[in-house]
Amino acid sequence: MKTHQNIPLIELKNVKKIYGLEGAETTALKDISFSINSGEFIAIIGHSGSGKSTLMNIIGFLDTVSHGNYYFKGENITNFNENQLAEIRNKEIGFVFQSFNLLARTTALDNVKMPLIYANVPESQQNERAQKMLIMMGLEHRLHHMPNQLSGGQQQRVAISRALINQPSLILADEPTGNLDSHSGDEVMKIFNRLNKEEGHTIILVTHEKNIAAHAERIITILDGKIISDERKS
Amino acid sequence: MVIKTIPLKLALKSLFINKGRTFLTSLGIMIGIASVIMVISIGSGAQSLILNQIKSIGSDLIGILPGGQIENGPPVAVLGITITTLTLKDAEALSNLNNVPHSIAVTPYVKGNGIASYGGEAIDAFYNGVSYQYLEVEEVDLGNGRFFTQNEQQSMERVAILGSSVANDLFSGSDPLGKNIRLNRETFRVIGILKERGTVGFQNRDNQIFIPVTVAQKILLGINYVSLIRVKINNTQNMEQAEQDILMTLRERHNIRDSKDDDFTVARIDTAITTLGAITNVLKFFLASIAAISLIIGGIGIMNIMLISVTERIREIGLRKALGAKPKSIRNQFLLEAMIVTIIGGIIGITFGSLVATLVAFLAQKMGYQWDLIISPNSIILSLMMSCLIGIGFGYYPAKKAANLNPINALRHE
Repeated sequence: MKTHQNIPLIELKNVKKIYGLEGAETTALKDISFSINSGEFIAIIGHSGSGKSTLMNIIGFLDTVSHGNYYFKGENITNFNENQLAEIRNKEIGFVFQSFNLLARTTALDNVKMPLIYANVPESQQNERAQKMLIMMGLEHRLHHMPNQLSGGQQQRVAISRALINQPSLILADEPTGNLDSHSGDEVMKIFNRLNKEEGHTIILVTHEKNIAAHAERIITILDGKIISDERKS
Repeated sequence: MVIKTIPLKLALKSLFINKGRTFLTSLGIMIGIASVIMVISIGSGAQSLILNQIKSIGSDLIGILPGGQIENGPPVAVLGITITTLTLKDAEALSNLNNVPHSIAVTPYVKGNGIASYGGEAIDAFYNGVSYQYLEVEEVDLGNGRFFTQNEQQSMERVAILGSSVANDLFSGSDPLGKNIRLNRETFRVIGILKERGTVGFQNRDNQIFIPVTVAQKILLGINYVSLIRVKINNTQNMEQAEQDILMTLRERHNIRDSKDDDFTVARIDTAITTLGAITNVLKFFLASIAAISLIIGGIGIMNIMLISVTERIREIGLRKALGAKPKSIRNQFLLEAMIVTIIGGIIGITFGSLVATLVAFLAQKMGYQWDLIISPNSIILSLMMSCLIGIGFGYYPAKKAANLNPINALRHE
């Protein structure tokens, strides 16, 4: 929705990621290339240790590549410094984590506001936007609750509100249902489906569960740092 | 401006959320600052007590003690040895304007104690044999009656002037003037009563009896010497000249050619005040430095708790970074947290320290000491600056550590 149709939102070209010092290196990613367009709903699936977390960190600007290039909206961000990466994370990425990562002893409203603070949004708008977002997630009666007063499903909905608050180009969800019971998990997946179908959000879902990945339209499977399949649902 | 206020708000919020930890962290600084303020203020108060005590004798006085000085040491007379080199004639020579032109009043002192009685009352009393110029030298006021005259002194009249508490104890309300009291088996006629002088320093000056020096020497003690002479000088600017005149006069009278052979010691109150002021300043500074050590310990306490706090909040830091916080804003948040904690601690410490200092001064004054309450603005400004610096100094390392955390590891931290 934010990008031009002809330029992919994300394009990775021959990306390698090597950890450790010379002589004792481990290669987490070997020669990964693929692109993602705006509006796609993608699942990245793989066992633990397959490199899917590394790939997610690179896509989310939390980590940098060792070799190759990463284009975001057509711009090569491979050599961005820490401050530039912080800024682009704030504007373009909405993270949803397995363990929610809400600040303890902080209200749902204040948790959702956090990205706006770092985006220098005037304080007068912060409350209004955060409230609107929480109401959209059906949490209108939980605005001033602390995380420990909320159920797991409610906490994850607060976290999704926080991910959406800054209108990012991409939602990165890392095992978003991993800490939830199946009922709350289904609810969260319904929200992701709605965000993708009805509001056109681009979503990347990282998971090791096949039935969760089945919600996506495109499934990229990773094994030992390599893409072994990239399938689209017909 | 918006950018700058972000970390401040975050820091305040975070401190408020962790109220208990915030309080415990600032406790060290509170105690440190309070002790600095207390030590400096109580030190100044004690200094004022000592200096007031000396000043109350009068800064325009020159004292002459019998016996020479040992190599810049104290006068031999203060060591408790009786030295008989000063006489009444010396005192009379010093009041001669040909010898010491700037002298306006002179009194020798001969001291003793005994039992004073009137009617059925008997008390332990201290008596002073002094000259008729005593009131002028020590700037004492008469409450009632009169002091003895030069004639009465020369003709050795047995007259007495009572300190106010002696008068109360012996006469319990009735008028002592004209009555005869007994002092060591001799009879004295009471001719005057001094006004209440209060306890100055550590000496009660109201339980004394004043009689002519001649009477004290010849009749009560049977001696020729005096234990102290005080000379009042007309103007403090003439102290130097007067001191020289006194030295010359006494050397001539005692046939001394070399100052090494002096059998007396001349002491000026004004130089004593300066010297004592300098000594007590050093003591005050020394005590304040000890108190300052507790500030450094408080600062290390802050660093420890901030480091623990960084470890405790690793996930929070990782999350903030994932949500777009730049390293600088993380660093500023933690730095500001440390600074706010120390400044709050500093302000509470200043308040508490001042309260204790005020209480000490109040109690000392209540007990009759001339103790001034001194809380200098400088010590307050200094402590505030110190607590600010401690906040920055000891907060920087933990803040930097937080800012440099890798967001991936921080988010994964359990």
